[in-house]
Amino acid sequence: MISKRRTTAPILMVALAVVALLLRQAQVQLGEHRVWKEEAARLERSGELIPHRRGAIVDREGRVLVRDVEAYHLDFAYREFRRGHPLPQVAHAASVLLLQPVSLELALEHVPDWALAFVALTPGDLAAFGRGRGVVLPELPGLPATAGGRRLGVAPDAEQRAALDLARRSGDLGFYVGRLLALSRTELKELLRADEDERRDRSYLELVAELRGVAPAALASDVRARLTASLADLDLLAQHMGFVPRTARERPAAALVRELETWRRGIEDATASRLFAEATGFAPGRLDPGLLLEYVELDWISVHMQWDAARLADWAIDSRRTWLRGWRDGVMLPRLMAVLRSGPAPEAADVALTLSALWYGGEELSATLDGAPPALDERGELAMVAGFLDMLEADDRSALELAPDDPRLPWMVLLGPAEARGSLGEQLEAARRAFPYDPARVFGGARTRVEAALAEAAASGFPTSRARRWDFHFTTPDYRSRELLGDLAAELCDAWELGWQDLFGTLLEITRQTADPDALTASGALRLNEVALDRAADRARFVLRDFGMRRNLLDERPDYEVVQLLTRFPEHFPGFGARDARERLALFEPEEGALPGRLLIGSTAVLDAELAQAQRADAKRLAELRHKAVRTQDEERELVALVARVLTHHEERGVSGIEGAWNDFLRGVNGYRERVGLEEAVGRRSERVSLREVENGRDLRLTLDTELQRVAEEVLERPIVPAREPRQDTAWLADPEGAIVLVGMDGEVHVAASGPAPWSPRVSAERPAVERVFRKPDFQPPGSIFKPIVALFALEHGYGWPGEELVCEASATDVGSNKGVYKGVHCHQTWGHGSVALEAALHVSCNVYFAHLGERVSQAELWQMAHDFGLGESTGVVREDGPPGFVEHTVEDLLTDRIGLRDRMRGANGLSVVEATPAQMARAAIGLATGRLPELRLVDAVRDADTGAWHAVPRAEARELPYAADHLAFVRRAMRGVAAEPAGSAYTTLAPAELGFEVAVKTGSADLAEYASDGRLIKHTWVMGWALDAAGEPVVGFVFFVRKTVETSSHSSTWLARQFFLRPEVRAFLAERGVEVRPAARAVDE
Amino acid sequence: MRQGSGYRAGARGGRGWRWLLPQIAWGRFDWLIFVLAAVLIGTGLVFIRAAFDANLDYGRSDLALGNPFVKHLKTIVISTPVLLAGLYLRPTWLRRNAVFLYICGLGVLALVPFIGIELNNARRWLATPVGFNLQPSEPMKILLILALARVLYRNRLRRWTDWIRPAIVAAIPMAMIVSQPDLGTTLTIPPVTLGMLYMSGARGRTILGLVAAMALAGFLAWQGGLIKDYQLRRIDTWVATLEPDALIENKNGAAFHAYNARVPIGNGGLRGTGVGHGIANRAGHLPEKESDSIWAVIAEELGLIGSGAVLFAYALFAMLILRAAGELRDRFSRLVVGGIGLYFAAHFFIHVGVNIGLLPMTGLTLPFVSTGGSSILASFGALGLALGLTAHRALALDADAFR
Repeated sequence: MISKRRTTAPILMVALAVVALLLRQAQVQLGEHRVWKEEAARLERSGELIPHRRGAIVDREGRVLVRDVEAYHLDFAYREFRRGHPLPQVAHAASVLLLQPVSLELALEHVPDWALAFVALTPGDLAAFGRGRGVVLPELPGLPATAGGRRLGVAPDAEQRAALDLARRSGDLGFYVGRLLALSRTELKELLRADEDERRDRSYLELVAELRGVAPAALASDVRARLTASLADLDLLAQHMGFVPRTARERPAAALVRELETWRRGIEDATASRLFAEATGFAPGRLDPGLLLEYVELDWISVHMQWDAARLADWAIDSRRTWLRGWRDGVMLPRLMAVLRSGPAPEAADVALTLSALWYGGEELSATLDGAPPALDERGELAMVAGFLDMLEADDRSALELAPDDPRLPWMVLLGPAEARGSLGEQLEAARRAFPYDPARVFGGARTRVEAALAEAAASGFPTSRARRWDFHFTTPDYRSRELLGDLAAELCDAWELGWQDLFGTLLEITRQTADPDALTASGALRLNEVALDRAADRARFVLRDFGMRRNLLDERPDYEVVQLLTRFPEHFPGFGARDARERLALFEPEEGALPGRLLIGSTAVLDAELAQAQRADAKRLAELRHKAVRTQDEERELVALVARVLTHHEERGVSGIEGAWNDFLRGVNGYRERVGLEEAVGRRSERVSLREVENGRDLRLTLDTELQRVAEEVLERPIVPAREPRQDTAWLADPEGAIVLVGMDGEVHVAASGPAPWSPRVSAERPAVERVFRKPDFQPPGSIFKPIVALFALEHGYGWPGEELVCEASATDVGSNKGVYKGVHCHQTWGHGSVALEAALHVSCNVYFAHLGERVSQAELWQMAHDFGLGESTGVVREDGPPGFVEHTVEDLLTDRIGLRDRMRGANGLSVVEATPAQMARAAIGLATGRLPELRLVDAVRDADTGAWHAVPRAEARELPYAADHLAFVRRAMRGVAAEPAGSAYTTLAPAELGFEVAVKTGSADLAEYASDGRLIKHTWVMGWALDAAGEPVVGFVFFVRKTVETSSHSSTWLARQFFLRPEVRAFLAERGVEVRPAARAVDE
Repeated sequence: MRQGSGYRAGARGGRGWRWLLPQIAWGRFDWLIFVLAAVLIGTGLVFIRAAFDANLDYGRSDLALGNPFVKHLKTIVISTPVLLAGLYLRPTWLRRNAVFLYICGLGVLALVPFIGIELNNARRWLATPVGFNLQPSEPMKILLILALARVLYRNRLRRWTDWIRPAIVAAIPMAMIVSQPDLGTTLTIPPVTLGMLYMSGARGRTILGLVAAMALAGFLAWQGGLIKDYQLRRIDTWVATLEPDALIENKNGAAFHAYNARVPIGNGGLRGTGVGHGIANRAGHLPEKESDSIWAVIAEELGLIGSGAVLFAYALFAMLILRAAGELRDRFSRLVVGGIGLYFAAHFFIHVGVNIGLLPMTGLTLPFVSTGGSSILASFGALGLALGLTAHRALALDADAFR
């Protein structure tokens, strides 16, 4: 009975083990069931954001200016292409057999021949190939390796078989053979058994022919016809996509296939990089390709990817290039620039802490991107080191264990005591020089740009030493300096990166020297350990599938024919797809930038790196919530809120103009729905759950008149001054700059044109179009168009009266000038205007008269009159609580500095101390015409997204001007005289006979402290006024602004006004509003 | 009584098909063990077929992947003669040749580093012409049982020197297998060895002391950093991911396999999802779902009730073999059959334990159920030996039988 006793205990142990297993399994299956059920559901769940439609922008007539239109994007998924189209199938099959990559381009010309050779293989051939006994193919065109009955894939050595992964290659070959024969599921199941029986030596072609009950020759003919038709489909698609073959002999699809080959390589590269990162914990691009190939075991990548050595080397180089581009240009430089440009004096330690933290990963990197780089003693291991140390087989890895404050690290140069002297520029230069800077190893060519800029700077007398150049840029934040500072910063990043690579290379060599032979591969690379390779092997299948399935954008605007092909005959174009998308389209824009009012409407942009960084936390949280299988109600609400808030990658957002300022109205809210179930399941229906309905954006109706806006932009692009005008500024006429504003009496802006417009051929990247109606890029005095306001104020406050005559005459003591003058303020009239009254002074725009008035008013009163008419102030077009985007320049310090008598006298003439934008002067014109100062507005109404009804945008009440009606009437009469009276400054150009209707205007010229090449004074010239209807009532106000001419307003801006008013579109517009428009006396060029 | 009636039944063996194995006393033949083994094989076939169908349904199968169900069937057919050989071999022949077979096994094992095939970063296999690569460590486990039984045959383990020979016999293949590396297979050797030592007369307290000492040594090696980093990390990962939240957090890293095994098991709940309908088959993320992870699929699709029944059947199978061993009077046969019972029990415990997270992740098949030619071959051989030795006519009774 001893023996029985001796088995009782083991039996009891087994029983105990079963109890333990059951308890643990019950814990997992019952106790944790909910958790794992949710995880299982998550594996099957996929969420989908439904993009909103951004609101349209229409003009005052309801003509659509910009709107989102339904469009298609042409997508390409390589895995689908490989599984569905014979071209990649024969290319991959050939790669498998030849044990080296075969390009799609090479395969393209030989698809049917190769395919028929592959389907002539037998199950026995595949089995033999898998076991290293090789296989013989007939001689195939384009594949010299198949010639001479050479046996392919012979690997008698088991080691060699394993290295070549012949078993998997054999399986892959079977897959492609099956696809080329278009096997049904039943046929597939039947053929899976073929290598088990007597059929193993019959070709797949014969076996399938037998299954289908046809002759092998007939099946071969069918296969050839099907493959030829597939290639013809590809040709057709390529032609519609606009691909042009290089030579007459090339197939139309050749150019497309070249692009697809690029995609294929890109996908393979990304897959291999992901596998490498899975195994080692860091991206392969972090390591110099030379170091990567020499020191790191990579054979396993070749096996997984079925690559040869040359392809592996290409991958190493491409990975490095891609990573550097993303890391340096996308992460490092923006952050470095933010540090360098923050505050008045960035410090070397800030630079060192920020830059060095970018070599880390995880929390260090995250904190640094948020602007708070952790101190050295709070840091873990460098990103590359952390991954590498864990995964190396070598036992002694001490050489690679770098402390965060190791003095050999490149950035420590900036933190060392010896470098604490000198300016920041000198320290940064020292830090850069500490490491060899080899342009051949640098990506981006920053050095060339820096050298060129320095040479240019030397010619201009700017600092030329690099250190001084750094310092100069810290204190001179103009546009060009930022650009060059970026290049200098790029040099610093590159130098440190190269320094880091050199250091790491040295450490790798030490590690290799001290490693056991077992820890090295045959080529001397450091072996990765079992865990690393297991992890990569575990993930390989999924990573390969995942990357292959990703859809990549092939064409943002495919032609209609392409979309039709892909949507009507999807089965003919596996891998290609027309995906629904939205496009912001300007309907008046046959060519880029031709939309009238583009500068006001502004533009949209998709998510950029800066904004992506800003919404990183939200995006991360949204991703977390999306991946949660089961969410609480709070989490569900949070998800819905985040879906509404977080911008998607392809979402257009307003960044400037009305698109930006009214973005909160134009932007809708994305919807979100989830699908539960696996899409790829055969016969399985997936369930869709909508969590948030999509809300489209609201349409905006502008006050702009598109037709008039277009006319104004054309006039500004091609101004016409007739030959009878003797004083023409030919330089300005050759390159005109200015603005035209037309505003209704309630403040609605009908025209706000700036020249040159974005569509002008004169506009380029170096000379962008500038909005000049609401902006004032530089000093911009209104000149004499300020005089009516001064006159009105003087009348109102008793500083002048209509009958007062003042003398404008030249002074004998004023050496060198024969112009009228008063206390140093000159008039434009030779010998002066003589004795003039106020109304005549306005007609002739007498500076001396208004210098007298300026002498009588105080600085505060000068400020008061400017303020009364809104000069230097916002016109009201910018929403106070709205998002940024629309920029309107105001002059916050207008007349706040203490000014003297001369400035008051010049200020009363609209010079020196008074500034205004055309929009502000147009608003002032309405004030003069009506006695009320309305807020200007560009957006008239917003359309309710549900009802479609337009709702007027609320607006503030117009401000009543504190001036008596008779004083206003006096000024209005005087302004009518400017055009109507022969002595008026606009009589030649804007007289009723000239225009065919009457206007009240004031002209003005404001001298600047600049001279043209011929020594003449440069000035801005203006015309401000309003058109009158038959009853003499104002209809629309206007301002014409000519920027930087050498001629006065009578010879420049008034001609611009005349040209505009003579355009039939404008005349029709005025006639509609009651202006009695008669034929003009002369044509525009007479 | 069984012995007597069996002997009479054996005497009638000349009629019908039983003449094929005249040395078997059919009356003593343990049909229950055989039926349980058949049930387990059938269970395996059902799940392997379901996995294959799921792969077809979800577009994951082509000519490229082959048909694992057919391959598994083929392996069973190929391995059936091995089962019959196990039934056929006489205990005395086995006893006399155990050491020779063991040395042959070691010889083949020694060839692996030189001519073995490296797959999935391990060199464990030898190429064969029979449709699967042979993993010599699998049959070596059976040969080790034979050799241990041989050295313990006359060894009562009364002196400490008595422990030397069995220790050496067990240590050599362990060292060779662990160097391949094959941690899973290595882990099955200590319980079998200790169990056989116990059955051969070692005191229970001594065995427990050994177990405690091995556990302590392992713990100290872990704490002292003597274990290789990646092995250490495997243990660390296991400890760190016992809780669901931690496992989910590491699902894309070190705990990828453990996560993808735990999800289907937990998802199965009490009643299971139904054969072929589990997330493991539908989503296809679970690595080695037909071999090292087949328990995760069974547990998910049969639920706690169904998989509990399989668990019980397997335990019953191992316990019946152990019980049958206890009834054998021949000491060598008793040790061999007992060792085989422990062999199945150890595989079963480690395989299920790994999948449900009771043990650190390592790859080990579930005999009779998982795919894997070497595993099936070794399991069939072991089953044949167990059934044959318990029912063999030619009893090799020696002095020990009458103790």
